[in-house]
Amino acid sequence: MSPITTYRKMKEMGILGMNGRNAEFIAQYNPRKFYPLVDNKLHTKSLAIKANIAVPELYAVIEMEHQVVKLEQILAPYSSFVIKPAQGSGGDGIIVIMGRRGESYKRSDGVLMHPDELKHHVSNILSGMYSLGGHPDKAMIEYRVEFDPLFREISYQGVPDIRVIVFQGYPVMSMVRLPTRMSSGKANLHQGAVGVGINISTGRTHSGVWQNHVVEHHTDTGYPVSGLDIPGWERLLSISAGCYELTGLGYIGVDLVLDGNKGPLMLELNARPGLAIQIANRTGLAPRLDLIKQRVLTHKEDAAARVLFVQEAFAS
Amino acid sequence: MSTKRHLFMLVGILVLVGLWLFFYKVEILKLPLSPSGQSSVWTVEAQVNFDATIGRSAKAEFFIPPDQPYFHRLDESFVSRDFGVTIDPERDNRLSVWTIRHAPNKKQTLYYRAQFYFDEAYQGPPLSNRGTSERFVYRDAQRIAQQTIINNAREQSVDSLTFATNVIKSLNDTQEGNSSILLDRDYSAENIALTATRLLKGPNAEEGPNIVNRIVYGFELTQTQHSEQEVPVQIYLGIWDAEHGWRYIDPMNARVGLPNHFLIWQYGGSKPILSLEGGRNPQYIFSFIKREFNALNVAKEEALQNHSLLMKFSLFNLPLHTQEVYQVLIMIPIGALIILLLRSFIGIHTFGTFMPVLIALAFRKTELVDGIILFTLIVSLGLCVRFYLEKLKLLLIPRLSAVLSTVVILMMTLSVFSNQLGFETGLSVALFPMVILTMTIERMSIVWEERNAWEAILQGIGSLFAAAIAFVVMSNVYMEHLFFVFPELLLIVIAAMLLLGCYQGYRLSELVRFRELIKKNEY
Repeated sequence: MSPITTYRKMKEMGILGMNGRNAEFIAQYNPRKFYPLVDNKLHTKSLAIKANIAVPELYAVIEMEHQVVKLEQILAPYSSFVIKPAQGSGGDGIIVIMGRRGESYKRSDGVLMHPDELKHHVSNILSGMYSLGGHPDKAMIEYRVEFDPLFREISYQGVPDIRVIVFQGYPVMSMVRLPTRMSSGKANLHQGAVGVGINISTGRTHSGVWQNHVVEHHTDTGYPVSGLDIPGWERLLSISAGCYELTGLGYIGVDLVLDGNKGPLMLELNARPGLAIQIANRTGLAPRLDLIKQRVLTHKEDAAARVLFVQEAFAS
Repeated sequence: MSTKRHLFMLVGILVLVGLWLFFYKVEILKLPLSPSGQSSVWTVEAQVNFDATIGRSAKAEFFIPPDQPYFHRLDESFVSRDFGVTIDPERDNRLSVWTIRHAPNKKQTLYYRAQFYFDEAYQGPPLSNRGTSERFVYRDAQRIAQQTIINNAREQSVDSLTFATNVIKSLNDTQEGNSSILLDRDYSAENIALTATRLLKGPNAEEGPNIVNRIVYGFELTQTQHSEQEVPVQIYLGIWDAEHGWRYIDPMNARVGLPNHFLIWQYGGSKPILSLEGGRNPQYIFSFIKREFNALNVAKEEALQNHSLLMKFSLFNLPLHTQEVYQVLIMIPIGALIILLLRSFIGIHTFGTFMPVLIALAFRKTELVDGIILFTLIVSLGLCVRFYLEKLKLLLIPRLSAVLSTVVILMMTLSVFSNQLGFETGLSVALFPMVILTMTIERMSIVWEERNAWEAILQGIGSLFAAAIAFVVMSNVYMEHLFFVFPELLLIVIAAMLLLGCYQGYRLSELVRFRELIKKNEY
């Protein structure tokens, strides 16, 4: 197929490209001044708590180097937890601790970490190694999600999460991101996780994408990824839709996890959500976004109404 | 939509202003478009010698080259100890008058020096259409000879030019009795030219032929370098008609047209080239030297002579070392434009946005292939060191400092070794900006750890590739010349950047990325 026909076909399908996303949506709907709200997960979390949106509980924040010395003391009450940089991007610098063995900490991939290694990691976080632009950062210690057994067979270690693209408060497309061996337990498509498209009106999964290829089965476990019903899908959608009011950003990616006990929790927001979600759903974003553009011209709706609208509009 | 219109207006204005300035400089100031243009510049010197009486006044009137077609005068100077000099324009000519009240010694030497730059397209100021006004009446046998030659010429000619060529042809004919009578057996160019003007003007207005003509003096500026060698003055006969203006005939062979690079020293023969009051033994010697100059320097000189405001406020008037810096700096936007193209049309991944431009700047010191080899070598060695330091669990800033220092040591070692082995390029690495290397190593290692080795290498190759392309364009001699001489082209570059900013279509890499999606949708 010649590049020109490929180009035309993509246009017909309404696939959103990087340039289109940046110019038409990020530049126009995401005012830069609101970026710190999503780039700093501590800000996002406190905003979410105020708005009654469920988030993983924050155990502690480490801001200074001298706190690192007392890290073991701070961690003592918790058997499992997650350490992440407050301003990290793309899942970089996140460590998930499942438990202990002696004085060492056991990571989600089974590797043991000596307390000194953990301290070094926290120091690196503080010095800005994982933050955008290398600014000094804070380390967050928070509740480790015990993910819903639904995903047990189709994830390789790590925590699968659900990404919902929310445009002006309307959830327009979503997918589950399943960690793989290649992504070393991270739910990031760049790093090799599998993305599985979800029917936005029913919450049922269909085929997935791995490294820009369409897949039907998980690459490591071999179990089929399609045909699963996400529990509490309506609730999940309404949390996502509500995140619009949190920040004032018009085009965001909402990352959620399904906790076995606590239901859907909002993890973080992303002001520059990726485009691979289109491959996972085998659908272009552009027609859906255009529909929302028309809708907001005539309607002013609350989160619940917005969810109802998209469930109807994107039923097929 | 109004922002779109605003943008297009802005782009339009930028392009118009840029192009206007560009064309003004090319067409009016004649700044050269390409750097290789060598212009021939002749330094012409006239030396005037005479004997003065000590303590008495002296005055020398000496013609100097007038403004004329094909020659731009870049610079002229008079070297004349104790003499006062004035220049009087005299019809088409320029007459320099050198005066002194009390000549201090007997031998006097005056110099006139000027630089001329040949330009085929230059027309010069308009010339007057008045020829010689002097009429000469021949008597007796000469009168008959005159009438015969005139009548013969008239029969064989269609216009004043052919008339004049016929006259000169018959004067040159040594077998012909009439010409020998008129010329008195003196067949020198000067005599033939002088006789021809008398014949063409005629004894009086009624009798005719009343052809407007004048003698021109000058000499041919040849391609060979005549260093301080005396140049003989050549004489041509100018014929004027309303249709063609002045045309010239060689009095020795009646050939029409001045030789190439003929510098006219004086129009018309009413006054000698040098006339003297209060002196004896007047003498003048012409000489010239030809030099090849950078066309840019010539144009620059000339534009400055014309007092162009644009040139006064140009980069050319900065000190030389500052000019050199700008010659490099002015190419950075071009590099940025290329990175912009590579990123938003092709979709190449690079470390940072403008890191490749900086790497490209670093290549200037090493040339491309050597630069890529050195860059790869130092970055990979630096990466090894960094991974080793990583094991020691150091904090970010101490580790970065250690990597930086290691890069310096690596570069020194490379230089010393390559010097021992006799490689030239190893030495130039010393000027390779270290900070760029260190930052590249740090960024690459983070991508290496956080994404994977493949992504890090991919971005490294992408950066090198982008830098190589940026380098090739930025170090292109023509590009450098164009943007340094015409910095207003940067306005057009900005316009291009703004237009590219409007591009919302797919990147080439996305055609590959979403290829699967289209295939699946076909069935």
